[in-house]
Amino acid sequence: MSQEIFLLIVIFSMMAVTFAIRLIPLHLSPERTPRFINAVIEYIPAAVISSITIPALFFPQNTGFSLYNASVLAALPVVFTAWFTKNLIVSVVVGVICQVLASHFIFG
Amino acid sequence: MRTGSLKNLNYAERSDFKESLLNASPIMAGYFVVAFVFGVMCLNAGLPVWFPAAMCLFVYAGTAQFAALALLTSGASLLPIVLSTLLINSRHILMSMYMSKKLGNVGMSGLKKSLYAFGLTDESFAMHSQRLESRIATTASYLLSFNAFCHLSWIAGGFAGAVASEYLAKFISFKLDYALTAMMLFVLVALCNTAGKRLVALVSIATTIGMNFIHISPLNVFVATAVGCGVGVCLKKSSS
Repeated sequence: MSQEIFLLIVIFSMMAVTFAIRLIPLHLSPERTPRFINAVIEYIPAAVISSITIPALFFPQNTGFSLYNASVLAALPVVFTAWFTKNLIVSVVVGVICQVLASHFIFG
Repeated sequence: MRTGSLKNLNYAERSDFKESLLNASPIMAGYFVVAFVFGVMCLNAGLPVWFPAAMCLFVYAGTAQFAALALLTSGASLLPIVLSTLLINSRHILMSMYMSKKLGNVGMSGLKKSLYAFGLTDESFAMHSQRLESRIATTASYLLSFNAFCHLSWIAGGFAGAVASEYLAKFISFKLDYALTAMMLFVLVALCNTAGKRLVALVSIATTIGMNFIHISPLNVFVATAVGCGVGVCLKKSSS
């Protein structure tokens, strides 16, 4: 088997797995879900987004734990800006600028 | 072709288009940079130029793509690559369940739902769930064009990285990928508007960090989300 064929097989099997995971639960009919599941669903966004985002700040590059680094430091002004301005673009710009400054001047 | 079809859109659809472009712009910037790095890394690993672009077009899964690249360069076979994709993307099961319930109010045909599922990522989920939670009127064309902008920027980044890898490999240290983290933090602040949700978020964070100390695995997010939601529901029941 040539390398190119193998790479194509890799791509299409990854596509099948990824798409199935995103597709199947979306097509399950919500009417038949029990009330307990409905209560759980309300908490999913807060739970999944916090556990993707916050721990990643403390484990840069998936290696050791680090309590004090540029990403953690820049997260504070982002949260502050998000809370007070409620503006996405402003929060993102503040975050990127703070992260660049922190990694150049404090952790450079 | 694009401009021709744009003229035929009615006013409401055109404003959906504009609004989704504006709201997707931080994700587009972040995706471009992350996919660019992916493209550069693929070429450095000796893979063909078409590979990163095809991966970005057909798979469209950030972490899973990087994991697959690492496995490919270490000479892994198909099975470990597929299994790691399954583990890493397991968290999308929960996001998709949530969307299945919420998209009922948006009104989407089966085909559009499937198209939407293809574009479901951590970042688009974050933005869309926050929008739906704050009860802003949302149409199918808003959601689908939002995903299309993000996906296009992901593909463009992967392709540009592959093409530029020979010339620009030393310039990829810009920090625009923090745009994605900042966007997720913004959504989190907006989402945690009740004591219950803040508690669920704290439990999920603590569980993920605790599990990371034992073993860093993509499954940690899935388990921690389930634990967080479970604690939230139990406390809600006992207080009511």
